[in-house]
Amino acid sequence: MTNQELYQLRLNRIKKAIKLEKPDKTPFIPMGDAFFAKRAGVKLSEFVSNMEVSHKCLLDGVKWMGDCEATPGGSYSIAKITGTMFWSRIKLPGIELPDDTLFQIDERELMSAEDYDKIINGGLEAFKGEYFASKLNVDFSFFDEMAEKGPVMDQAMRDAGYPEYVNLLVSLPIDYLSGGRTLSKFLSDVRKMPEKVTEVMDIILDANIKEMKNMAGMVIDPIDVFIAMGRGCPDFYHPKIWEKFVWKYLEKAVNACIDIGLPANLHIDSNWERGLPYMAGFPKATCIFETDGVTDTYKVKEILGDKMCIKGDVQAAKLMLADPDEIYKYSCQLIRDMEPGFILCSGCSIPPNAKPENVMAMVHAASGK
Amino acid sequence: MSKKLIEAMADLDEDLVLSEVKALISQNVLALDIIAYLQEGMGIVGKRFEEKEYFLSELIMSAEIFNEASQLLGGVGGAGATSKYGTFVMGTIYDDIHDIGKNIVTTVMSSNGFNVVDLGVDVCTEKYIDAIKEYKPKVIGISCLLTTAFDNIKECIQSIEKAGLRKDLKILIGGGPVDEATCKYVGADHVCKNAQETVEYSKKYMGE
Repeated sequence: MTNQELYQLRLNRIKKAIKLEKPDKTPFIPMGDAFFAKRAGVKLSEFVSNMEVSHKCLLDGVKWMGDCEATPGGSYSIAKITGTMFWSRIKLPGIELPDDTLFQIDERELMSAEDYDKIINGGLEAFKGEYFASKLNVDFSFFDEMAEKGPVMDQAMRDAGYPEYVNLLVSLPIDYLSGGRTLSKFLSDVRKMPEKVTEVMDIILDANIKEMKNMAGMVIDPIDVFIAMGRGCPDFYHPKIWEKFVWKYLEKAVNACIDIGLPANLHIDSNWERGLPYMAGFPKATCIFETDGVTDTYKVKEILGDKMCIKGDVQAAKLMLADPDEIYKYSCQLIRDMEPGFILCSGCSIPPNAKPENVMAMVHAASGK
Repeated sequence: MSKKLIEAMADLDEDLVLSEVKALISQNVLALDIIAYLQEGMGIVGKRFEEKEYFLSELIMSAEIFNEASQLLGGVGGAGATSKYGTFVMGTIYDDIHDIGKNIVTTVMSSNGFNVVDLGVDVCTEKYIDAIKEYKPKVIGISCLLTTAFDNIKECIQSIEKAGLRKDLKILIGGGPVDEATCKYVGADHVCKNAQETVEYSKKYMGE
């Protein structure tokens, strides 16, 4: 089979699973990038700072796994600009952190309460321009580098037979505001000036949806739209706050994805059990519930199993501490109990210190070997 | 007794809490008494949390307000003499800079009668050992959000043992990816899934 034929076969498997059908093989899509750097013997400082190096690690990584249906989240590392997705500074290995550690969000209050007025009165783009330049340690030259080299690297993945599972995203306003203000200050704002916070959230989401729709026409073979939801976990908030500041925006973002005919990939961190009944209202096969394993996957299956595809959830700690036999059995159990409409995946990212043989145990379970 | 401060703390009225603390300071009320009022308010917050009237959002808010108020009094450590159960030492292990979970636990522990020594984030083994020698806690907590830091916790606990400080000391761990298997791997005594579990375990061990 040629790589082009493999590409099409893998793409169809993913699409079938999302439609709650049973493809000829359970799709396996890994998440995370640092593991592939470690596997290649590359220091994380080098991995996050050099686009070619990170691309090679990821491309070699999918080839090493062989039987996986898509790239582990992209064609290269975007750690340098991750701060723009959380309006926070990022500490990078080799700069603020030791050479071979994961990059991490440095949660500090960078955005002031007055900044809400700046966004309302001066516009979001003007605010972002000033805020990113003055408050975040964003390497703006990386945007140019991405524009120049990114499409070539994406094509190299496709040429090797691997679709990109994530090449579109829409960020929820709570990620920006709870990142820039810090979660505690954001919660204080929600209590003290709810109307102003809502006004800013409306502005942010409308802009993000517009950008996502523009991008959708430009990317090749989009499979879904990625929506990060860690900061919106219903366990964090009083139900009334959650409905007003999280659910309202999540629902609107998902509906925007439905508008353009793409499913929303709901990237679930932490326990979303209280949110499951809300999600049951989405039309069938319009979402993927991508879980890290903290939400009870069997509860997800019970409430949403006939509504959306489930993607997960071999947890990070398991991939580090368990042995291949345990991982294989757990993966097989998930496949047996969750299909149809299931994509086997790590629970959130594969950690850099995961045992390679554990990662391969997931690959083997999905391929039935 | 400042009923106004206790209720403001329980109702998470940040402005009123801060103004009332300032007013009490200007009236020469002892810092330890003011902390006690704040702790009583925090106790009500904890009760409302257990009764599901409050959620994690409210717990985080209460932690923030409590910390701001206690800063006016020279920090939470100043409340040490009021502790009912003794000292609890906690930090996030080295190479990990996550602090939200740690802050929730330390604040809830403070409000439940523990003298809390917060070592911060990215805490090296030596700092834990120095704190154990200095404060002689019966229980310490190690927070961790990264599986890549599991080996750091393991090393830290082994070093505490080698230093002869493990006898009668219970070591608790907590954080997103931490589970029973992690607990066994790093050699900790117990894994706490939330702040309240830390309180209950520590109270039991430190003699309620």
